[in-house]
Amino acid sequence: MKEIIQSPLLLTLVSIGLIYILGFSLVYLKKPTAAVWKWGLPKKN
Amino acid sequence: MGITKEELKKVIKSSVVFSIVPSLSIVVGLFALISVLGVVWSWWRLSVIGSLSYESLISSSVSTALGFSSNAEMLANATGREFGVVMILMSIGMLSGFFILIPFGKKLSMSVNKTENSSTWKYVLSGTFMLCLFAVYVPVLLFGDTIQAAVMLTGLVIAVGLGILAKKSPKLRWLGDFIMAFSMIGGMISSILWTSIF
Repeated sequence: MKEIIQSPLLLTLVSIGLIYILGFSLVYLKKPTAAVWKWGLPKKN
Repeated sequence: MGITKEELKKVIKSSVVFSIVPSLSIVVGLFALISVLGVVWSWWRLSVIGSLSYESLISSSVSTALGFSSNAEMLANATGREFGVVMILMSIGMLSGFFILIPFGKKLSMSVNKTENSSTWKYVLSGTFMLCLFAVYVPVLLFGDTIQAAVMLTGLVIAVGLGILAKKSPKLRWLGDFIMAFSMIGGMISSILWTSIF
């Protein structure tokens, strides 16, 4: 079991998964961030 | 927007504190889980979805089912296939929550929030539910092993003590956010003492 829990393959797969989730969260963060900036910086009339 | 600089500083400060503090208990949990499942899988489970109590319960259930006396023994002697069982149980087993929540979650949440003239029962219900959930662990920990029971009781004493302090003193209210982290660290440190005694 020790060989598997320390294997480079598992590390690579987990890293890919975490990078995918990080990218996903950044994409979904972009939309509300744009809305919040609009609240903070209202358009000048 | 009509927000003063002081208010803005206060919001930034509290946001920083409330982003970092809850993650402390997860970091402590990560160290506990590493000894059972190794760095990579523990890192994956606690970064994405999962909790220490769920992961440790599953790993100890699997180790018992496979005939090992403890998680440490499973780590030392189990094969890759047995680790696969742990991985599948953790990943697939956790999905049951989603399958229940997808059709019923919104309805349940709305029905609890909508109920009028019953401001207290929902708190009692959710509190009792959580208490029952944790009560399942207590006999297992208390009657399984002397060291395990002593560590649990030490954590309990620390948690209750810090809870009382945080509630009684306004200056120590911040302690309320650290109860889980402190009781876990205290329990871990106490295990060294209990191991030397028993």
